[in-house]
Amino acid sequence: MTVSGWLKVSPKVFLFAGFMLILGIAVACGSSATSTALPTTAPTATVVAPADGVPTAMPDTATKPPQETVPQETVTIMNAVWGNERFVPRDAVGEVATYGRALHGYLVAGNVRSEMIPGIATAWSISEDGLVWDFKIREGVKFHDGSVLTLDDVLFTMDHTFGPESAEFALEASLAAIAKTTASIEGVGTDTLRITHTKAFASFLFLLSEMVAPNSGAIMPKAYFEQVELEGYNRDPIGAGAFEVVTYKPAEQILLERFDDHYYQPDNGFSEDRRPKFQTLDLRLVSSLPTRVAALAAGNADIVESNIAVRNQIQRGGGRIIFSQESSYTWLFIPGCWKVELVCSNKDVREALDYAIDKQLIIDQLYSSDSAAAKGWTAATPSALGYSPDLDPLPFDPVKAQELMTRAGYPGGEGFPKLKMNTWEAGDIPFMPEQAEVIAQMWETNLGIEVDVVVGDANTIRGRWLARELDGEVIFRTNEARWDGGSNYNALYGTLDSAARVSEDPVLRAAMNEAFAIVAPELRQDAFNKVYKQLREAHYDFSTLYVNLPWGVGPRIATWEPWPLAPYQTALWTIELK
Amino acid sequence: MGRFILSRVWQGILTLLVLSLIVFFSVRLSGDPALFMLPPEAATAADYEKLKKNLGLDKPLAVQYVNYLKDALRGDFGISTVDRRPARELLFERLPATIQLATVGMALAILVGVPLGILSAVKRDSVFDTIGKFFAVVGMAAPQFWVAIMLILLFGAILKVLPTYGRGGPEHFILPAIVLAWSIMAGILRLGRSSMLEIMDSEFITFTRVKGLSEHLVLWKHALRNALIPLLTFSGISLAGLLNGAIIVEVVFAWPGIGRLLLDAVVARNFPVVQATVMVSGFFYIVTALIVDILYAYLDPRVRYD
Repeated sequence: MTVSGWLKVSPKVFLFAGFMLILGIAVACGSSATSTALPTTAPTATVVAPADGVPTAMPDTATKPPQETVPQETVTIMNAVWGNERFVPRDAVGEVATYGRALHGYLVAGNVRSEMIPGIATAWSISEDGLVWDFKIREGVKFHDGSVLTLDDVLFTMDHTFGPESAEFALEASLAAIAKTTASIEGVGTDTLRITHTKAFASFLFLLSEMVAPNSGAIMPKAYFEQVELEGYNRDPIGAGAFEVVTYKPAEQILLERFDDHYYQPDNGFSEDRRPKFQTLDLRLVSSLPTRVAALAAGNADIVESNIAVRNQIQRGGGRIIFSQESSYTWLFIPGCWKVELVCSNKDVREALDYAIDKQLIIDQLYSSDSAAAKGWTAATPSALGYSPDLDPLPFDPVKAQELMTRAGYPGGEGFPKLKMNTWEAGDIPFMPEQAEVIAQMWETNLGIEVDVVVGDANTIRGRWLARELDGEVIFRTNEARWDGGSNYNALYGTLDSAARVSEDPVLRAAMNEAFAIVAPELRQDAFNKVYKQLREAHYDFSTLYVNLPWGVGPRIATWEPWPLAPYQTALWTIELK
Repeated sequence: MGRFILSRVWQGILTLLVLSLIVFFSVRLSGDPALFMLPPEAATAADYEKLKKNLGLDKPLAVQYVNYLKDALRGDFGISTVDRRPARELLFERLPATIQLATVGMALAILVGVPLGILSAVKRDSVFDTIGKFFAVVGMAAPQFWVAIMLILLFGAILKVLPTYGRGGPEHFILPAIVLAWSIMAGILRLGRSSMLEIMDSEFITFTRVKGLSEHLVLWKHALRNALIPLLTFSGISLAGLLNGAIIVEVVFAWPGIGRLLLDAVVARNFPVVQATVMVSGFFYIVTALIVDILYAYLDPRVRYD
């Protein structure tokens, strides 16, 4: 019988065979996806030294028993985004600190008070002109493969992150900018790293710390990197952080195990033990908020990135909220205000717009007093460098706002062109379009001006802003809070050819450049406070509020104390299980 | 048949060419790719010009398109702007997850939809038919994201009997496969029912009964065989759709397939990945449609492609 004939007489048989084939394939494929079993033994931590005695990245097969005091428990954390999922510091962009801070050891550590403290570098110094940085490298730090961190590893990583190639290839813009001003990266003696810049860069120490979003201060093992090369490292990374990677499934899961030999522990002279109090960390990428909330209620997750809008659902599901304080802030500005033909070139107009917004009402109606606050000036939130209470937002004063508008030549909004306000739905601050609508309504009511709110997508608006297509229009967006907003403000006020500049005022530029050249840590608070006051006075940009990031926390977690100024999970060693 | 296949292959190639044109120009219509690739907070005009030159965006559009086509023919869709990995590599990394879910979803849709459709037709106006109709209407009308979230809440959060997200063992397939399959299942059910009813009312079925054949033979041998033919086309095209990635299901269930890859790429203006995903999806669709047409010719002797 021919195939054709067989098919013609037996469609049932044909279809049945098809179903069986499909099911067979599915089951076969499905079973291959279940390879996430944890190793039954603890990770290896010793090194095979070759004949010449140089440590290599080859792990030993010997195993080390897990410490009895650490519960053999898994903590599952769900994030909405993971940035671009690169482990090499030079190429890691976006929300990469979600996993970077677990995996990597950083040159400079941080603490809950946002102080920069010794990490892999035990001490540092800066030359008087702010151009030469020296870092003394700690002895005895181990990578996850058991190899000992040396000055060679630090030199290699810093060259990869800030060297000439980085100026050309770094995906992270801030690294490329520093690389362009890096004159040399060299070793001094056996234990000191020296980096020389052609231009003082005040935020450099901060960028080398674990307190910043890109993993730019992370150190990689040179021998291992050279062995596996760039893509090999990105598939199977090794660092010196408190966790080592066991399994990495792109866009899905990063499974990590506690690294018992993590350098930050009392045995190495530290007052705090930053090794986790549990064995396994299961990081999951779950972009859908309802799914994260359901997973928390089902017990499939212990900590989920959340949102104040689902607070009640989390509590009803048996969870609770823990806030990361000052995680993000709103940011309102009009690009191109240096152009005299734009109404925003008049400072009175810019101030009137701010005075006309009732920020407390927005917080009361859209957020809550524990999730948001109207304090500080844009990135200078209360825990950030340069903050002082006199930087707090302008009060709601519609009378003053109207007076300013009249003085600017627009009494009751007469003759004022229709404003367009561009915004987008943001993951870190909910209700941005709603907030924009409320602000538009306040401006219409208090200033008599017409406002159109345009809700677009972040990339399109950013692209159009860069192309100067939005000059004269309002941009209302969110921004990640940070301790040191220096590099941001240098791009906005201190660099004339920066596409993101909000001002071309030479006085402000000089002031910003002066503040940005002050690198001595003890002088920076005052220097930044002074320039922030000047910038706030000019009022090219301002914010309505900052928010605290709510984490949904399940019943297994007894305590957790995340740090402020970080919209990602921090201080994982403070997690204690019930 | 040979001529028919050749003609369909040629049509498929033409369709892919048109698709490549649409994708290429729609990417440019949505804005200058170089602008989206530059970080706004740090980029200068010089950086922008340099990037344009590096990407070949300073050349005339026609030249850019020809270069793009040449590379695409070699399977080179460019480098992802987000992580500097080849777009092709990213695509093939995510494809297995999509194939797994699509296969299970399609199997479920057929295994449930076909018998229910037949039952609805054979037991016309009975309680089975009513249930079938209700099931189909809900499947077609209910938004996928709503069904997905409701199922997660019920079986994951409240009953705690099924996982709420992600890949894993067979139990991880149940909820996403149901959500994915339901609307297709509903289509198969309705199409199967109407097709079966039409066949059952036809003269040749009356003739088989007059001949004295048993009802079992009439139903399973003569009626079903003919009723299944239209379902083949529907199922084939549905499978092609599933293989192109089920964005909503993949997002809600945190399933790392090409649907999510495409969504992320669109949001990030990751043009090489968008182009790669759309072109490969188009290829799947065309190949599946071709296979369905060929099978149709085998199954239905009335069809004469030549």
